[in-house]
Amino acid sequence: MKSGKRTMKKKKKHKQGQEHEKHPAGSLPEGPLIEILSRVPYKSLCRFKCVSKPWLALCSDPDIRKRSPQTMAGFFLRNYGMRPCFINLSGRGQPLVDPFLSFLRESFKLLIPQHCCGGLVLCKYWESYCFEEDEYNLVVCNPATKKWAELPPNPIQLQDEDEEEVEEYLCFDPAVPSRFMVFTHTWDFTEVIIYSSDTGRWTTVESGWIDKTPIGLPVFLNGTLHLMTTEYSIITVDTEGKVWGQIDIPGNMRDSSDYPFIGQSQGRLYAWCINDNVDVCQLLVWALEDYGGAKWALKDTVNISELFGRDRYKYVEPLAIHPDCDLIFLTDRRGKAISYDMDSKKVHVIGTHETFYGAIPYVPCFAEWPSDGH
Amino acid sequence: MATREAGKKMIMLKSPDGMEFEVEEAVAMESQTIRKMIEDDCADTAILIPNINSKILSRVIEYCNKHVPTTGATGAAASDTVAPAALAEDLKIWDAEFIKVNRATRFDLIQAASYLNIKGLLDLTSQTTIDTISDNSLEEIRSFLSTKNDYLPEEEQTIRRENQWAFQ
Repeated sequence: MKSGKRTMKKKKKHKQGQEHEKHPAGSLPEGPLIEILSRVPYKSLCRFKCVSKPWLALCSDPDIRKRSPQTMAGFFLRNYGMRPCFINLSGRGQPLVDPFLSFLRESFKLLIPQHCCGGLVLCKYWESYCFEEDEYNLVVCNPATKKWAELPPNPIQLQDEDEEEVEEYLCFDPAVPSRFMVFTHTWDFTEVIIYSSDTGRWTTVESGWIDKTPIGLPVFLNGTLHLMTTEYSIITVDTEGKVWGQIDIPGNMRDSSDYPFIGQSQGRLYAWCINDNVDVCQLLVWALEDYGGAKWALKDTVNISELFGRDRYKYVEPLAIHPDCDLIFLTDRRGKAISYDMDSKKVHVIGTHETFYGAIPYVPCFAEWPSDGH
Repeated sequence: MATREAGKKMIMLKSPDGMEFEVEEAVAMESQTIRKMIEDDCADTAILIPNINSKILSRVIEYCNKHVPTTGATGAAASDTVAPAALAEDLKIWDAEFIKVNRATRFDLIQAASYLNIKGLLDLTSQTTIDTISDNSLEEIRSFLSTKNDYLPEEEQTIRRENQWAFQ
């Protein structure tokens, strides 16, 4: 069967010859070992370096590190000034990223993280310390690899004298690490402006989101940007600004006392909200089970008093959902932040005196920088 | 697979120890390696699968049979009758049973999945091994995977120090 041999290609280029060498009984040939190691988290990879010299070589291989799965490492905060803008979630051990983003602060005096997506962080920066007077610019960085690229001035700033506060959203998928996009819009939302690292330019497109006002952090999933709106629907757009859409939210979410939030976990879109009735204040979490059919399933309902204690519930703000497990993060705006495991119903305090408000979940990514950068 | 209709294209897979397995083309094409062969027209009669003995090959086929998309694992068609979540849950339970094998078989399955390029099986077999070793001490990992510690004591100390944070 010559045909069989011809097409049996190895996926990886690692010393294929060794594959066919004799191995001690019970040991793993290199091929399967590479498959295993490229699935372990970065922290385990570092520990496994100590197993043996061949393991050190494999665990240090950038190809494996690039493939190694990353989980949520912490939150970036919209802090300016000299305070750290990163909260390490593991709490122990060396944080994966420099919490001060020092590698950027050498070049930019004032810097505020705005949004994280897929391991990249979008920051606003000012040339001087008087940030209230100056126009800002944008820089996208990868805190794990310390690479960054400045974006050209945003055309909205150039045309908009009123200086209405607008948001910028970063879109990056580590599975497609060759490019990232940044979305922003005019204050009245008639135009959306998209930056693509492919072209290095901003492109203005007419907005397909008529009479919508986005709120909260967006979700970039399946190559589509999702935004919750104050009109209680989720608006979507592809990275080209060509396909505009809308996803309805569960009916009873419209009755919630606060606007719902959205996030993504395990490849699915999630929506959650706080429903504050007279008698009881609850957190409700839905998962979008069928994306095309907009079929939501109620995932969990929990009394806020069970999470925070009775006296604090009025101030509770859901922060984010963990991208890899059924874990929701909430803060009470007085500095206490917790994680709530929807499966085990366990609550863990993750911070007691930090401002988590507006915290943005961060998952490191070791992929190579998409385009020319520093 | 009681619902499988007759008249589907069959493929013969041969293991190096002489066993032959007749499988539906769709099932065989769960393997990207075999898919490529079929698409390149290299597989008109039978495909020899080198390096994978009949015992392992039959398990691989069993896995592919269960995971072939026509059973509705990912297809939208089945969602009318059974919820996708229920199907996924069923597959998860099946996978957990499937992977209850001894260490040597599991390593053979990883190698077969890697060779035949079957992502789901590779994920399952690799992840099971990771789950086994991730909480183990270095010594336990070495013994589990029959790997020799070839560091000199001072070398090991240095590398341990550099990666101390990963042990906390």
